[in-house]
Amino acid sequence: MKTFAKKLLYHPLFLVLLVLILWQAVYEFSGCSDLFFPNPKQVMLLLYNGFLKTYDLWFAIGISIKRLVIGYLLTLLIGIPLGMLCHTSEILRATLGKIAIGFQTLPSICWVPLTLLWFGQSDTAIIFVICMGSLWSLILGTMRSIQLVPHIYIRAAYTMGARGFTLWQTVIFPAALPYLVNVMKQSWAFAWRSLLSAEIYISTISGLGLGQLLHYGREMQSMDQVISIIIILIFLGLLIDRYIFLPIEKSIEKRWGK
Amino acid sequence: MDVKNGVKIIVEDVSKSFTTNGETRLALDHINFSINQGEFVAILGASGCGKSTLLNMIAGIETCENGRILINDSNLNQPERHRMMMFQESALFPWYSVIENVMYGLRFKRGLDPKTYREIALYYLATVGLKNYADHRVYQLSGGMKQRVALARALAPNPQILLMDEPFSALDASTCEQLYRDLQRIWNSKKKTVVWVTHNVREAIVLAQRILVFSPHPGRIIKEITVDLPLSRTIHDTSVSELHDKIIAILNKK
Ligand SMILES: Nc1ncnc2c1ncn2[C@@H]1O[C@H](COP(=O)(O)OP(=O)(O)O)[C@@H](O)[C@H]1O
Ligand SMILES: [Mg+2]
Repeated sequence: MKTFAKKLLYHPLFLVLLVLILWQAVYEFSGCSDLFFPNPKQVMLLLYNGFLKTYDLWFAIGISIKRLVIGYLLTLLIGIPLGMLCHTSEILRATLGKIAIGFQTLPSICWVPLTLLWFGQSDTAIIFVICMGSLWSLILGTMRSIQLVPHIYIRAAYTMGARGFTLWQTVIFPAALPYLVNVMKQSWAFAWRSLLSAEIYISTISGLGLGQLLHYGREMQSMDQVISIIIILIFLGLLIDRYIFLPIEKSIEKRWGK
Repeated sequence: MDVKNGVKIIVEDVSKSFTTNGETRLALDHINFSINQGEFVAILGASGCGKSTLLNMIAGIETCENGRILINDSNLNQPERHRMMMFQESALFPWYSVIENVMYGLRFKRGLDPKTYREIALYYLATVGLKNYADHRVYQLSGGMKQRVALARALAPNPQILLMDEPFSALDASTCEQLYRDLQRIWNSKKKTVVWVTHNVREAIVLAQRILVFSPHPGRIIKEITVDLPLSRTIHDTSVSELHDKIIAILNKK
């Protein structure tokens, strides 16, 4: 019994429950209007309806995740090779490498006006913003990951006869992977933020994503909806970290034995 | 000199200097020596006398500034499969298993059927006494075992020349003694040409047939010593101790 209580106390859901109770209590006793401070019961109801009756929320999640995955994959596809090139080519390092530092600091939301002009209110526009938000840190991070590869590995492989592509494939890339996974995770976080910025500012006819639902929640002064979306976003973030990045990190740790 | 097999490695008038912070310093000063096929030669000297630099040049990782290095009478400046190198750190690849590490060099050897890689690797793992560790991960091995695997990895492509840069200097004394015995046995049966870099006088005496004693700043050969002792010598032998004292005296005189 004691261990059960301890387990409960240490479980994150315990804190969630506590917050819910507190939230409900504050709602009941403060007498604020729903507009200002939403009723947790209302929020739960909205989530319940959205997921189990109308399925709206599933669609929104699907739309958002699709944009995110396309944008992120494009980022990986462009960013990792560019990062490698920046490592090998001095010209690229001196030019693109420097520019990337500048672009990396630019909040992706700044791309929205131009993007709208170029691509209109489309998925392409949102995907473009995602790429701009996550690409630069990936280029720089990839470059740094490769620089961190202990030189002794490369020398050992080189003396055994490894050259060019084989050297990259069998030594440099695997040696950089533990760092690279961290960089990819960071880049994913940037992509995620960019998605939300883009969706909040760009409304599309091709379907409403989570950011757009959040935005319309605000427009319609429905704080219930805003809070529901925030809750969904937090859960999604947790799930992705736990079921995508954590297993990758674990498997690398198991091989390297950290 | 064994005329039939000819000279294997010739280092001819080799110099090298490095420039750091605008200051140029001579690391190696007109080095001349040759090593016969199947000979075990130690390059002995304190740290900073250019031993690694010289070995890297023989390996073809670094270029000579002056002079040349001939291997089998050809001027090679690319590392080739008939030279394998071992470092102070094992430099084993942690993303591969033990046997995959030993197999690594085989893919660069022409005319070898990939189906035989595993068999060859297992043979060399057995040679260094680690057959049962084939599927272990690198991090599961002790320092001594790692160097054994690194040795197996260097032996597996069957190189004619082994270049060893203080491979045991990070290991404890008893592990070293074990490895000396194994190394004597392996060298005796495989008859490879070995260039062994070390700062450890006893190690050089126990392993090598010939010792090139280097002095630092700039790196020069100050003495060449032929070790005429029975093969199964250990660091505890009185004959080894006597030679040790002699070499120490040479080093101190400098
Ligand atoms: N890449 C390098 N750049 C500058 N100086 C170097 C470099 N490599 C070696 N040196 C210098 O050359 C000398 C010999 O170095 P090294 O060959 O590593 O000696 P050892 O292996 O005998 O300790 C040292 O003084 C070292 O500082
Ligand atoms: Mg050295």
